[in-house]
Amino acid sequence: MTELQLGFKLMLFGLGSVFAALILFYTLIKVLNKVFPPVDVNKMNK
Amino acid sequence: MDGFLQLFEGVTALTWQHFLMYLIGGGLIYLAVKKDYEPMLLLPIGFGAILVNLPLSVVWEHGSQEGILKILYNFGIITELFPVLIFIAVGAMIDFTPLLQNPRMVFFGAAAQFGIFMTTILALFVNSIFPELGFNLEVAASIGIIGAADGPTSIYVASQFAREWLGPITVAAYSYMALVPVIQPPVIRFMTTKKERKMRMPYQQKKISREVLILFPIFITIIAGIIAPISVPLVGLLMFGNLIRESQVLERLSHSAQNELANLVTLLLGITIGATMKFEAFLTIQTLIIILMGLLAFVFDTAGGVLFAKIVNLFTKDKINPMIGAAGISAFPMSARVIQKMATKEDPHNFILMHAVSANVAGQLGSIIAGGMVLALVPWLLG
Repeated sequence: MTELQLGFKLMLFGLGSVFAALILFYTLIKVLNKVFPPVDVNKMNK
Repeated sequence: MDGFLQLFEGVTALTWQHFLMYLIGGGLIYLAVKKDYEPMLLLPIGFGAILVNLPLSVVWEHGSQEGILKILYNFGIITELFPVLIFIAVGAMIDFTPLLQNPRMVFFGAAAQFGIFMTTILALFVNSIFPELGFNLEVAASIGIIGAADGPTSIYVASQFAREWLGPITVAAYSYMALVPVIQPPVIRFMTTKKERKMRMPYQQKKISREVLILFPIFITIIAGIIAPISVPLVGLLMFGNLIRESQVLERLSHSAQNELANLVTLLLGITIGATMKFEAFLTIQTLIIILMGLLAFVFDTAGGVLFAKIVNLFTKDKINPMIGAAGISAFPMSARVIQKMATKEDPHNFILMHAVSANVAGQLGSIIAGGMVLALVPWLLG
């Protein structure tokens, strides 16, 4: 396989895995915020 | 007569290349002092470049003895100690609150890493035309990682895959990080309409609970460690620094990480990187290509982020100002400021800074994850 093809593979797997990791982080943030809910600062000030 | 000439061996060893390197070193110091372009790094790098290009280069090697800068290089770069220590300091400086308040921005931290991979392909393409450049997959990925817009990550990856090009890669990474206000606006203007740049985005400020701030770095470390174990020195130590900060019980350590540790390691890192810029290795066509490709990496990052925001807008109800996508690079807070400035220019009452900051923080996370993935994938692809 030529190095150029490896480069395309790197892009596919690289971007794919970065997105996959950040989807997990997104889910993590959502779950954490659900378990320990944030406080709406605007409501706090009222 | 020979003995007499030996007294002046410094003068007799001088070549035009030495003088050119003094000019380059002086240029970096000028950019640091006069233009305030990443002075913490560019000034030590510039001076290191001058030091190592003095005749006989005794700071690198003297006879059979290692010079002081080579000792530092072996101690801090070969072992990857310096960039890893910087990650602790950076982690202690990052506030993830904007991202935790606005989690959907996390995806822009991935999209804006497009430049890393596109530049890698470009470097490989150039190498397929001119194989004598020697840009194999490892070197190409190290050039691409300039697009992480994150100095320590660039140094960390290049020190593993392309030590011979560590100098130009680092100089390019830090120079272009400083030039984000110059590089990003034309690319964004090219890719967006005036109407898109005027788009407003509502923002609701929320106070994130302390538990979330503490648990976030711990869970991220565990997830990253499971997905890509090789990324742990980057992600793990970044998150360690962040945990020290967010725990709020280690004020002194947090302060030390953000100040003493950051300053001391940056100082040694800069001058050591500068010492890799011996003219024999630096004054090459490859250096010029690396510097040019670094610029393209930032352009591709910006374009990738904007394009991703436009694609997201096709499928969502709450539209995103496409400029926010460009803030998904790691250059914090410079990129977020650039986006807000551009938004204000189009509409003085449009405030999208907090969204841009969220994307920018996501970029800090995304760049390190991308660095870790590159470290894991390249050896795997090479079998």
